[in-house]
Amino acid sequence: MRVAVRKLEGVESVDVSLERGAATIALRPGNRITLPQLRQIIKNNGFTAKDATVTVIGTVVERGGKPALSVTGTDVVWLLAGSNAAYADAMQHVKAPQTAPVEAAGTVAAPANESQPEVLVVQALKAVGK
Amino acid sequence: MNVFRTRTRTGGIGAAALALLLIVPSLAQAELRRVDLKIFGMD
Repeated sequence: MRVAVRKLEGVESVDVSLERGAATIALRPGNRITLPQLRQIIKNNGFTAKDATVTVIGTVVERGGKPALSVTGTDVVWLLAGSNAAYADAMQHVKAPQTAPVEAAGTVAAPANESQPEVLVVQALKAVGK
Repeated sequence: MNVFRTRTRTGGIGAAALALLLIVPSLAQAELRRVDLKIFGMD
């Protein structure tokens, strides 16, 4: 699995621990790798990928009056969820749209099926470079 | 001669603007930086 993920363009490092049941993947700036892509590779190697804790850089956009994170370049939009200060910050972006990118960290649950939109439960949100 | 020079400069600015348009979207693009996936079992 480690070798297969490592082959993807944009992967900086891969650490797989079967003992911990975790795969940690660091990605280079400018990569176009998506979470479903990583899940698929893991599946192809006989494992099941569950929840993911991610750090992502993107732009907060509005979807149905709620905040979402536009993962441009991959045509992916993650709906944002949460009930903390980070989510409140994201709501501010909806009320006063900004084009400046933000760095978001949080958890994306394994989708029940491929057509289900992914939801990022945001735990931290900050302007890029701060 | 002067007119020719002006056109040349405009073309240079146009090329620079085009280059910026090509670069800026990639800077604005979001991307995954780090992923910690829970994995389990062999199928």
